[in-house]
Amino acid sequence: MRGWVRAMAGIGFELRKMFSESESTLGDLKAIAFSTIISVGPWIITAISLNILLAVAKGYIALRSERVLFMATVVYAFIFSQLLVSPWQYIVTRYVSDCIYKKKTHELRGAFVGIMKITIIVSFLVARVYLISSPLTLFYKGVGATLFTVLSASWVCMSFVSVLKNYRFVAYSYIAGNVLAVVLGVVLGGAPIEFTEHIIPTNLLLAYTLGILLTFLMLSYHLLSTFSEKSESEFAFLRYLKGYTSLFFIGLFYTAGVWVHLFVNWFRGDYYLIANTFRTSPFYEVALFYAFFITIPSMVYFVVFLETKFFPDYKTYYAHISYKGTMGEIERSLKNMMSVLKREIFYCMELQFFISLTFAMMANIIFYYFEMDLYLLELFRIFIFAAFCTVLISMFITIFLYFDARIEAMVVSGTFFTTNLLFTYILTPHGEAYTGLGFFLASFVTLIIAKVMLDRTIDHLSYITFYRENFTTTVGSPLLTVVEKFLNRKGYIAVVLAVILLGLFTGCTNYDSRGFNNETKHNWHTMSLYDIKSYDLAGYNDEGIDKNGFDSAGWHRYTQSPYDFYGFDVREVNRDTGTKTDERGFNAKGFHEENNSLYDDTDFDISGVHAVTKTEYNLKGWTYYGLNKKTQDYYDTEGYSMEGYNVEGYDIEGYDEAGYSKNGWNIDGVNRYTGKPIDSRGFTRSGYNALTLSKYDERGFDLAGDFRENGSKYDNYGYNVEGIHRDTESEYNPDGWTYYGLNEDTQDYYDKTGYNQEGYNIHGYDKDGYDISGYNEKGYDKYGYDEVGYRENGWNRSGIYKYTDTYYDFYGFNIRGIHRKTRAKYDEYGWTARGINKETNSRYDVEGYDRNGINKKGQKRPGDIEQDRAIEIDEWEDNINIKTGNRYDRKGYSVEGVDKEGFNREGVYIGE
Amino acid sequence: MAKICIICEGSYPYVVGGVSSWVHDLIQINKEHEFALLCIIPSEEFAVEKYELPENVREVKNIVLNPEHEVSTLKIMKNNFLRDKTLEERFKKAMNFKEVEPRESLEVMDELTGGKFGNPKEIIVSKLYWNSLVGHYNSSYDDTNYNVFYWTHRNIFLNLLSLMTEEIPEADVYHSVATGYAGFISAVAGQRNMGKVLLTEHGIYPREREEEILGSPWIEKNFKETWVDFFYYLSKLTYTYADEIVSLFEYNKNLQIEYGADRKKCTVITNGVDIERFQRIEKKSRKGFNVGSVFRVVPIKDVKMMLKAIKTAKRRMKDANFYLIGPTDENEEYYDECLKLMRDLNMESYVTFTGKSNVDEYYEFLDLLLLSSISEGQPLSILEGMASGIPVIATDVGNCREILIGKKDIGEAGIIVPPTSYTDLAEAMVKLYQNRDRLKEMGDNGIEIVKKYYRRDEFIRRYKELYERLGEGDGRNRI
Repeated sequence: MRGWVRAMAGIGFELRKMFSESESTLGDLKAIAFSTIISVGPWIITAISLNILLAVAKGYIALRSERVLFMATVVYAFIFSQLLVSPWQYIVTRYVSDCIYKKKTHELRGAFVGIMKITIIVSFLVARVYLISSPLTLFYKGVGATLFTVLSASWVCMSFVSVLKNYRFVAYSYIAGNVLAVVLGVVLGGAPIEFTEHIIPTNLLLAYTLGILLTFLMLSYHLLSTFSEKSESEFAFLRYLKGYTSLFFIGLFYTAGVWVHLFVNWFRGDYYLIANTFRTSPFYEVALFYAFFITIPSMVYFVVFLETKFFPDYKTYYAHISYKGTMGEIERSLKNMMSVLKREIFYCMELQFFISLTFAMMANIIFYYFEMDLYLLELFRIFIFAAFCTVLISMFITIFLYFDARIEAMVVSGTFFTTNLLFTYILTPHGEAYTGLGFFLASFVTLIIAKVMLDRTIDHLSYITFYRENFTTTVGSPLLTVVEKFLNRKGYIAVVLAVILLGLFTGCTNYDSRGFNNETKHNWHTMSLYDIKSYDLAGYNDEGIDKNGFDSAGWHRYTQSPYDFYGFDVREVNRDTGTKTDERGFNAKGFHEENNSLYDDTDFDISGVHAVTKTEYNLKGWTYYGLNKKTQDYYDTEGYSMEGYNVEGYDIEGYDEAGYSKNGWNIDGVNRYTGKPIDSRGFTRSGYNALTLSKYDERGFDLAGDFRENGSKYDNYGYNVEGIHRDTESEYNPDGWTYYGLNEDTQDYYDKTGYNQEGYNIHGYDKDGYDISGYNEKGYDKYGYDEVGYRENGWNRSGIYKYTDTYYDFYGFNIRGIHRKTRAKYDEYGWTARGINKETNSRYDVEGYDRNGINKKGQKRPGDIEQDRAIEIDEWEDNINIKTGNRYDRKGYSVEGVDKEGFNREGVYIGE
Repeated sequence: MAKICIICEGSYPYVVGGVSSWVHDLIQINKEHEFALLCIIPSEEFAVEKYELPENVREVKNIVLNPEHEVSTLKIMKNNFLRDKTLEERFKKAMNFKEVEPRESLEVMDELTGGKFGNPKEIIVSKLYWNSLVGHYNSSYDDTNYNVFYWTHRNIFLNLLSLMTEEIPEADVYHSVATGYAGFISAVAGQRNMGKVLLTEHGIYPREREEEILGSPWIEKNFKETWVDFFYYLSKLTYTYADEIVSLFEYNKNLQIEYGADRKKCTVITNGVDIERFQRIEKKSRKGFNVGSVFRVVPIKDVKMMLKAIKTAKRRMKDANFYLIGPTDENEEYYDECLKLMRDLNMESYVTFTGKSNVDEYYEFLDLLLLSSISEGQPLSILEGMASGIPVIATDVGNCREILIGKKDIGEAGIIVPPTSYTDLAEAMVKLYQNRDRLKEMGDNGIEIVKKYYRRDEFIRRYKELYERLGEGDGRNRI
């Protein structure tokens, strides 16, 4: 803590002397000027020189976009270098003041060189990675990255210098650097170095970078000559990451908090993409800049108050609490310090509030006078108050750090960042009226929290101070030690340099830079809804027509159709091909993609102009679509087209485009249709049929089409070789059939009645139901016999029964119905051959069972199955049933009990 | 058989010396009891055993002063949320060592360390402690340096609260061999009814500390009183909770009573020597006049004063040789300073630092024994010398006066000189050197005094009886 107190001490002595000694107004002015220079000097100097450079830019650059590019580059370099360095600032300050307190000033050189190395390498890498896909020139990117790096490095210098309290030298360095920047800017603006692109921005950026480089070199020279002793480690300050982690986040969150609303606006608000590299919201940034500019008085006052009024009380309090104060003295000095702090903060707020209020009200008049955008006015007004709160927050954080209340400082800066991000993110999309409101609300809320926390802290300050004294902050961790050791090695610089060089030589990519903001539809070239060529974001001009002549409904203004002159619709799809290119290979923009040029293979462009003659005719006098200049026809005076074919499609030698002659043969004897040396009928060019191995094809025609049998052009049915019928002169004969049997009406091989030319239907039967062999569907010819000679009832002409292969059927009756045993019409059970019962004269006996023992309901006679089996045993001789005289008993079952169909008595299928 | 927990502060078994030897001896002669050792030490590095622990020592527990505590921020925030005005007020009263009733203060600290408020460091950094402290400051210190006040009290209370949270071994008798932090632990054991509390004081702890504090330039004047009050408070606390208070001699007993001990609890048990053992030593006469001193080379023995006295006396004791007997390794820096002084005064020819040795070999031929300590209880070396028939010149510290010249029924066994006065010591040496008859007479008286008043068997009997009685107790921890 004591080291911290010492570190906080400094310039106050000089200031106090100036304020106390000055009796005159002039003396006071001097003191105020001095405090202004030490507190916000670098900032004011930078602002002035940048404005001069911008004015220079205005003088030389007509294009607003070029100016914005320069400005955006500088803004990016400033914001992101601050963001990169800010987390380290408090840590380095703490480390440096600890080193001074512990009388280890020899460590300072190492720390300075170490953080400088890290900063330079990291910031250069960050810039390179950010710019890697930017379409800007390599030189511009290089200068931009350098500016970013040098700015980062100079912030680091500032944290060292602020510990040394040599503010005069800081002021000199900044003045020198900025004067150089302005002078170079004027010189280079007047006589710029001729770069390929962005000439003036590149020159101005170069001028400014060189200026800042001078500042940085002066600062670092000063620091290095002050820290002249050699150090043990260059990265010992990294140890403070553990133990003073909060300092890292205080810096990070506060700086991120100051800018995060701008970042949100870049993505969700009204923004432009510059050179496909920088997002920028010029109005927003300008308003923000001037709003912060207005806080200069309170910043100056704060420094003066801190150093001249607060610091003596602060020192008294800590002297009392750390050395030999009684509790009474401690309480009194605390009370004293508290009242001074509260009074002065209040005064500071009051002062700033009135200044801000004045500006907010006067802004109205100024804006009207200069006819500036009123949107900017609203933004400016709200930013005035947001900046007011933000500056006060930074003061509270400073005071918290004076009291070593790091947790409180971190809570405040964390709240600032979080609320700012959250509020802005939520409010930005609601439109212009809400722009900047998130920033104001966040800073206001944070300010109130900071105030409450400061009051609490001060109330318990003595307790907190002693509380903290109970703990020693141990810095460093094993991991950090490893990192430190690694970084201290010589080799890593080489690795990093290699990475940077690798980054330098990676290429650029293409981009589309119309300059439109997707959300507001503003174009930053014209600051209107239309770009320089008077087309808006969607690509339509004020007549509602895009540059291809289509309106938003896709109707082409000039062709009065959905297609342009070349047959492309609004989606650039070709009418004829259905693709993005037309038949000739051009796309809607007239670009021939295959040739990668504006001309097709014949050197005509999309509109038909020849590349060489620059007319619609080529050197031989043909247009792209083959019109002859002389004949104004597609054929020249000799009757041949551009491609050299006559009306019939044959060239001078008689071959067509594909190389075939009229007969269908090409020069090598290959047939046009088959692609082989034989034609579709099997003939070679010389007339030999390869299929029949003769001079005739299978129908009997030769190559010339003469029928072999009658020497005429027609075969026996009247068809010629082409299949044309002699009588009808069509491919159909008078009955409507072609030579190969196609019916004219049905265009099928069957006529309307379902029969083909030969008279058979699709199942192969003629009109009488017989097939080509004379059998009907059941397999019997028209006399009732099947192929083997049996009739349907099983008997053949000789009286043999088909299934028993004897003269008797299953029941023992012969063809005439006489039973084998009884020699009568009835068998021994009284059944006829047809199964009629003698007694009942029906198919059923008196008991109601038929000859097979089945009643009408399909039930078997009881005990019949057993009886049957009993019968079986007696009735068989050598598999022949005695009763029936064949292999089946009278019920049709074999000796195994299987009927001729393969079913057993129970009706179960057994198989043969 | 009982279990006895001996509580030492910066002595046995890590430091060689009077108290340590006494404890070692006590444990060895009470083989029928089991012992636990509770040693309060400044750091873990201190714990290097200098004695071979007897078999009946069953447990050794070290308590390090100023221990580290991990602190939970959450716990502190919770503590600061829970305000307890009465406890704050009671704690504030407990901070006033001069006036607080010992039982009351111990109860407050017991409540604080009960766990509700976290570990000692968490208590110390809490708002409750802060408020109590500021209250105490405002009521009795309001014109002193608050920073020093804060740190003085922070150190005192962090140690006391840490001691309160230490686990104390179970035992029937808690035998503290001093007041101070050791006495505090025994008081805590007593307050928690863990067993009987026995206190043996070799010196008077707060008086020894008082001398140290008054002589310490780094303690600010205003806070010397705080420290002294604190140590007297620790004694009073120990006396309050002790069931028996033993001192080595009458004078100390009276001091104990003066500092708050109940007369009824106080007894005197003198150290004893084994007279037979020293009687057995055969006297061998050696050339010249041989003077010895038995001590550890540490500042409290004021070896430099003795060296100066020898230098002064040597001019008149031409044939005298001086043997400084005892270990030199305890405070090597001091030993180096002594050696340097010896060389500067050209005394190497007649002064010998023997280092750790068998004293019996020297008792064989020594003619005179010296003791130049700034502070002592009842130094054993004197009694041993006397038992060997050697006259003693000792500074007027501890019980030396009573031993050497207080037993009027027998006579004087030596000479008493004021502490730190080397001229007086030299004078006394020369006096005895010149009067050999007196020398002989004093030697004989010494033997008689030891035989009558400082018998080892008596010492053994008294302690056996004490342990037996206290160990009976309620029999809670009987083994």
